[in-house]
Amino acid sequence: MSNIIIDVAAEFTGQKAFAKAQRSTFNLEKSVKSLGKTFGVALSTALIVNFAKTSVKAFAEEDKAIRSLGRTLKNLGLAQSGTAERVNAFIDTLSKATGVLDDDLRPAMETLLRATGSITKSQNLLALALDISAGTGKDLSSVVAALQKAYLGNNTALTRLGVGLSKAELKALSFEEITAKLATLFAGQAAEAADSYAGQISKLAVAADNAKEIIGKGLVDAIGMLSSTDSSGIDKLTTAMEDLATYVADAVRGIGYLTAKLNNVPGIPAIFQWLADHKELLGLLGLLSTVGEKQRTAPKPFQTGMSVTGASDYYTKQAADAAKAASKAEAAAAAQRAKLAKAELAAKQKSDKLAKASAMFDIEKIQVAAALKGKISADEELRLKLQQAILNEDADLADSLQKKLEASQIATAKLAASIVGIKPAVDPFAAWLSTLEGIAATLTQILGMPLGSSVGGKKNVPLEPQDPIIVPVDPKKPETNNPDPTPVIVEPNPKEPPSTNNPFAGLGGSTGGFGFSLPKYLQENLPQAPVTVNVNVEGTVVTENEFVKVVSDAVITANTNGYNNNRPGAVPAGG
Amino acid sequence: MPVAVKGAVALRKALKQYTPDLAKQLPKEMAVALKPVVKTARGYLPSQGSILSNWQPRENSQGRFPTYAANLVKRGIGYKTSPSKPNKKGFRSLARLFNKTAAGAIYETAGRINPDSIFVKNMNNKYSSTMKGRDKMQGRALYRAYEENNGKARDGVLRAIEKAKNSFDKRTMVRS
Repeated sequence: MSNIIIDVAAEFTGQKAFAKAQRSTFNLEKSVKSLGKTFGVALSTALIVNFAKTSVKAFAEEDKAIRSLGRTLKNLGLAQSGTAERVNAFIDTLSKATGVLDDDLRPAMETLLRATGSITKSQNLLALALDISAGTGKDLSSVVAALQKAYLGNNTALTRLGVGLSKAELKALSFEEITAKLATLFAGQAAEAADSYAGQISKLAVAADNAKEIIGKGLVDAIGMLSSTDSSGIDKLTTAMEDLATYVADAVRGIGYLTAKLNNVPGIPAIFQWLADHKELLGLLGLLSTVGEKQRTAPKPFQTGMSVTGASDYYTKQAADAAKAASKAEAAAAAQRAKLAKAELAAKQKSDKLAKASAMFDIEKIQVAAALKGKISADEELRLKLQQAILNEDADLADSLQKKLEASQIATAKLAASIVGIKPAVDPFAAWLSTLEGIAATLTQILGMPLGSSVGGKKNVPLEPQDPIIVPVDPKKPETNNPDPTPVIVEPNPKEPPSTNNPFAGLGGSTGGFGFSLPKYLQENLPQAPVTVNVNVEGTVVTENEFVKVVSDAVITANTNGYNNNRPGAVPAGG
Repeated sequence: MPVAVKGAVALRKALKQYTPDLAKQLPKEMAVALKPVVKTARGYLPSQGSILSNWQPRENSQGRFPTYAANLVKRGIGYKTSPSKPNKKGFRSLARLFNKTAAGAIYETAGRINPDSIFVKNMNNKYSSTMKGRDKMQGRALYRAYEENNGKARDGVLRAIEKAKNSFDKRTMVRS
């Protein structure tokens, strides 16, 4: 037998053993219910009597507890006007909220009041005790007793509660610290327990108990009213109640008996059946019955919860798909952002490159860069770098350079101020001239003539001061036919020395710089100032006719010698 | 692995009791989701002419190894939408696909354990079939088709159940 099956969807309905057990339980429950019904009528009388008794008892116990609490408050000096009522109201509220019977809460509160002597502290500790009780499963009285002992300094009892505090902690911590820690550990336990099914049932129990107490109070009041006139009132009441219950039970039993007997009478069952089929004829009872039946058989909403579980859960898959789509969208957005950032970075790099390239053509920057490469002082370099930083819009560098420059300027100013104070240096050669003049005067005296150079074989010829520069000039010659250089008119300037190539000019003497002077005959023949110097440009100037003649002669000579006068490729004239 | 649904059997019962039209509609909608898988799976089966010669139908006396009859094997692949009996683990199947013939199962699963056997090699060479799926749901026909369906069938079945539930709730809601 092959077993190739794919279960697309399945439901866990429990194993066969479970079903069997469930069926058995159901049957047992049915039997018990039936048995209960059977005994119900018989037990009803006793139940009513018992209920009345327990109600009265409950009321009596509650009354006793309230009185006891009031006495405790009074003994502790806490019984101001309305205090007992407020404490009782607190306990009632707490009882309703947590599902813990007030029969348990009142003694607990009393215990805590005796230990702490404070209503507020007792209320807080009671709330904590309820949390701990709900959290640990210990009964409230044990928890309260432990807390009371702990408050009085004996923490050992708390270890037995199993609240998660070590012995070392209990020994080291104060009661306030312990309660704070316990409050953290068991926060909300009582509320959570009250919300659970068990808590709801407990609340019902509390309500039932309260009802019992209320009924009990009513009964006791009735007893009180009866007993006010007669001392045997309670006995009478009890007897009356029992009689009433017996009467009711007898009545029910009588109906059952009557029905059984009527069933045996021919035609009666048919009458009952007819009445059941025509309920509307029974008036209000029939109407109510019809409404009730309709309500009972009306279709109800499908209450079975639908859920899908498993590794390939449909809803999980849907959630996973949604999450996947969201993450995909997120990834796409992130990729888009990254792409944009990349594009932005690329654009920035491009603009940086362009800026760099444009900076190469920035004349101002180029000039600054070129100037920096030259030989410059430190101060100039600083200025140039500052200028460069300003051009590059580098604020930080410009700021630092400016500070450096300011410091440099201050230093320069100080230096200049110190230089101003320095006296000018004395010329060490100033005395030399007078010494030399003295030597010359001595020599002149020795020689008997003024000192001079040998010129033209003569020595020690006396110099004529202020001799002009001698340039050979022939002013009578025509300019055009003169092959000599054109004379240049030089006007001697008595104020300025004439320009000369003599490197020693001005060192001594009146003309050549070496103290020589021209012979007398030359001095006489030379024209006196102004001196004219003519300068001729070498070359020949011809007329147009002469030029034409020369060219024509050249062409004829070329033709005679057989030179081709035509341009290469040109057709000769007449050819 | 099947999807575990809670309350679907009760829903089917309720549908049958209160809204018979919806009870009929639900399996139809499930079938719409399951049919494509069946069709594809049947398409992956070899035809009678292309079957290995020694796997052809023969007399029963000649051997006990199941022979391959293409039409029977194709008909053996199908689907079911009625809730099954609980299996030994207590699950009731709400919708299932099956390949119920022995030959179909052999073609489906041959080579999972011994992929180098001669039979498997011959089969693979002849049909150039491939196994798809994972672990125990690995096969050549039905499992392959279901794997390639990418869960559409499963989603369709669940959607049909949910739709039926919603329709039922709408109809049976008591308005005061």
